[in-house]
Amino acid sequence: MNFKDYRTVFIASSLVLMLIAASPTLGLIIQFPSNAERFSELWVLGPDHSAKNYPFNVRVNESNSVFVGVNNHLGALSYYLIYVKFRNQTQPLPNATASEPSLLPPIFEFRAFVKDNEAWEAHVTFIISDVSLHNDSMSVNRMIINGKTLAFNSFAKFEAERNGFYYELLFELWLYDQGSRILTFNRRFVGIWLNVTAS
Amino acid sequence: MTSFDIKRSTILVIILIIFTIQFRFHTASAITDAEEAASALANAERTVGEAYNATVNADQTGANISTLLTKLSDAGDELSAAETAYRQGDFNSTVTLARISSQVAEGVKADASQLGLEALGARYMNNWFKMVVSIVAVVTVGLGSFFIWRRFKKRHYQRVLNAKTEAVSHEL
Repeated sequence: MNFKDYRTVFIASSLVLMLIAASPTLGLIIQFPSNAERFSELWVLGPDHSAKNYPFNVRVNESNSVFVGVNNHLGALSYYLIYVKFRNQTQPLPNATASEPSLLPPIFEFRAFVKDNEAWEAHVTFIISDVSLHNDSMSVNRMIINGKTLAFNSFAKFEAERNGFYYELLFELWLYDQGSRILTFNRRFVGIWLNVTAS
Repeated sequence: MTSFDIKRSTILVIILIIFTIQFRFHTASAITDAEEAASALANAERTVGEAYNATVNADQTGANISTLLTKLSDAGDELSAAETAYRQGDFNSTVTLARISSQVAEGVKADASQLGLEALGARYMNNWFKMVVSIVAVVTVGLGSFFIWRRFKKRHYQRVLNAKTEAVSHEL
């Protein structure tokens, strides 16, 4: 190794040391973009907090429960709105591809403010407290969700194939957009089917 | 037409007028209730949105937003309850709940601004500290390298010179 080689090694080592010494300030200036995928999760779990034993055969005045949750992977604190809707089989579902929510009016809602990489969950207890039967159709007239009595009318025809009146308890995820300052449908929804019996 | 008939007709007309006025008053009052409830809801929606934006800004400056989030969730819960009450036609509850939501959200906005400013000040100081530490470290490394190199160079030349002197003396 001649003198010039020594000099090159010495200059390179010094520059590396200088970069290390300057790293606290460089960290303030240089920001590496995150390649992590940004998305939100919406889920419904059964009463024992697992993906089984979901309420299905539901009788009038019988209490049932599920857990609804949201997981935030959007990289910042997010403001969510979860609409609870009640539909029969013929009423339209949301269209996730076209970002269109279900046209049904919500019967209940939750609002959640979730930090990045954190989850929010709510225990939802529901009781169908009033139904009326007309020949081959049923009307659910009243429901109690988390202690709040809600009056509405939702009709379902008797399904001979599955031998029952079928309804879906639907949860739709909406997200607050900071730019436009409005809540928009986040293309995520989950639901559980209920076979409602009058007695 | 007898005087009795006239009297009866007059009474009937008066009753009809009273009913009409009362009905109009009730309708107008219901509309006012609905309008007031809708306005309170819109105000609460806007305030909660602003409180959320303020909290996000505070979070981005590095503030501890745990307390703010608890309050913001309370405001959101009240707003949800107000929306549900409105859908059920309970306008009095709507107004009460929406106002509570707005008040809580206003508090969050104020607290978020304060926390954000404090966090920004702390961050500014921290950044300054980092910059000073970096500058001192770079200068130290630079000067250290320079002196070490000078010493190394001197020793190197000295060694070369000694080697040459030894070679010359051997030749002699």
